[in-house]
Amino acid sequence: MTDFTFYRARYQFELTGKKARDLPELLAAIKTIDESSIFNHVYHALLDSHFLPIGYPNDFAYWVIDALHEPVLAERLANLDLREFHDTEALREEIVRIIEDYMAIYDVSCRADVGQEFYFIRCISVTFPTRHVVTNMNEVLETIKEIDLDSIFYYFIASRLLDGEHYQELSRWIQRNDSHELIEKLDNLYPYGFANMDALRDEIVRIIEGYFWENI
Amino acid sequence: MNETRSIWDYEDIVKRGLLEDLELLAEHITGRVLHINATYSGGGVAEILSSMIPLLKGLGIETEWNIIRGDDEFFSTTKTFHNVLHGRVNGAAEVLVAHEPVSVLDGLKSEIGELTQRKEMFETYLHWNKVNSEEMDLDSDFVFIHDPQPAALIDVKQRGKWIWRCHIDVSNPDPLVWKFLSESISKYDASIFSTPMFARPDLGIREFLVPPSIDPLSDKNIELSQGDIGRVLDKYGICMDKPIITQVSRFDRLKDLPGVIDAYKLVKKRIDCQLILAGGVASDDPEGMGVYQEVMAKADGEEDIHVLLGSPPFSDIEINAFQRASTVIMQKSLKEGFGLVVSEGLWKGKPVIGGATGGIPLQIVNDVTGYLAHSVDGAAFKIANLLKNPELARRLGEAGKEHVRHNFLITRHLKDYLLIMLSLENPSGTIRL
Repeated sequence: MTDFTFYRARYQFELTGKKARDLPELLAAIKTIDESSIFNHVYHALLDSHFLPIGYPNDFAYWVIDALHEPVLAERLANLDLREFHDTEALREEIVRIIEDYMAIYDVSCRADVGQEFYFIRCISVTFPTRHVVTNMNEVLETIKEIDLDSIFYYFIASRLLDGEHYQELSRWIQRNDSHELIEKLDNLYPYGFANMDALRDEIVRIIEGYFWENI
Repeated sequence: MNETRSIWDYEDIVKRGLLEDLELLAEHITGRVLHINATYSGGGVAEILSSMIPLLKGLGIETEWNIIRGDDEFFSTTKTFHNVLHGRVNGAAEVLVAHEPVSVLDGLKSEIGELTQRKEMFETYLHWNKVNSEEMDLDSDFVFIHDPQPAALIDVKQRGKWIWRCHIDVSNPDPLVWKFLSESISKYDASIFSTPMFARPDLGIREFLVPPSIDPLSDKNIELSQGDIGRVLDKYGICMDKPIITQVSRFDRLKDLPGVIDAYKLVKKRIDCQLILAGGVASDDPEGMGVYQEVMAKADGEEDIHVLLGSPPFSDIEINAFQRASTVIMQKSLKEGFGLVVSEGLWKGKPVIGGATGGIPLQIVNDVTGYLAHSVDGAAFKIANLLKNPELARRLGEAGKEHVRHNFLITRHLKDYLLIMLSLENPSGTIRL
């Protein structure tokens, strides 16, 4: 087997200079803002999940309820099924559709108070090799158990949306060296249905261990 | 400053993965890093750099920290700049010269006088920046310039990436002073702001977001024994026989110390407790002693209100002890910069009640890591609630400490600076090392 080096991504936040005080402004900005801003505002809560209210798991939903007091729209945005999106453009289109549908029915004249504006922030992704190098599936399992959650986030969430060419590189390595069945299970894993990244890691470990038991 | 410090000193405080990443990222930084600000001691910027520079060196990065020099006139000018850049409260700007013209002629004279004064200030500022640029070795790969005082050093830039690190709120500045400074600032490769609310959209350069941080191993935040805490309180005649409510802040009108006393008095009617107001008077704040005297008058000799004027200033250990002895910590500011004292309180596992201003709401997630208060009554209600519910106070304090661990420690700050240096070397939004 060839070696596999685990990578990790860290994110630095950069202001875009765009902000919104009401829904029309939010919608206009979402239509034109760069992809990494969409990614940041939808996904970063997965890493910071300790402190966002569970009912509003992305920044758009949270701002809509917190600053605009629009619970119906906030719930719709919170309920985005992230499994459906393999790229941020599709995700952007869905967010736009949800907001436009809402604006077509409801009065949206509410404006956020000064200081409560929505600031669009992009993230710069810096990906680098860790010191975790594996040569077999046992080592993959042990590494996944102990590696920082940012690596889990990178392989199962971020690389799919921001780092296209490296998406599934862990899966491809396993595929070259092991079972298609296991790959299928990992690739079909729905990473957004877990309370936090620890729970996602536990599920990945469970899938790999289950595979080992079946193939002893 | 030649001191170095290992990031592994923080192994029991933050995740191992973060410390590993700091080492891995640092391996990709090549060249010399230079930080320049106005002082080696006193104030939040110096505190952060005192922790940051030894850690950068410990990571093997060639790092230097210099301060600019100037005469009294220069520092008086930069203090004025500081005040008028973020001096607005409720929309009213402080002005450089107060003037109430009684006639058109007097008005014109006053405006001419003000413009003349500003021109002299701008000349002083540029003169001392030029003097410093001639004396300093600015030949570095990354130059971090902190706040407005040394911002014009960029005028002699030869090479490297220059980053203007703004620690203050410049979202509503005096237009003329901002126009003057922004001519220099817009020459930088990038800027850094503590929150989006403090930034400006008109710089035309990249603007990164980096909140400030506290050092959990500094004297101000390190664990203290009950004996250490008791000795400090004994020194100031405070007995720990009843719950303590504390606000550590300068004697400054914007900290709303009278509001804290009013809230305490409302609570005191229902629950026996005591109040510590500990702070100093900034040497460049002519109002400070007046505020202190007003606070003393409002306290009216009540034995459970401890108004402590740090003169000389309290040591960091003393401030640490006041916070650790507290049941509830207040930061009831009317206007605030980032208000990092909130993170100091949260890090000690204390519930913090703060005003909803500046950077405080980023640190206090209402009802999760503490409470935001919008009035004296609101503050009093929340203090009483916490005093009556120790379990609630414990839960908020624990969540607050975790919030600070994830977001406001020096190790995260260090990671951000490393990522920014790498981002400037690799302009793509997705960088693979």
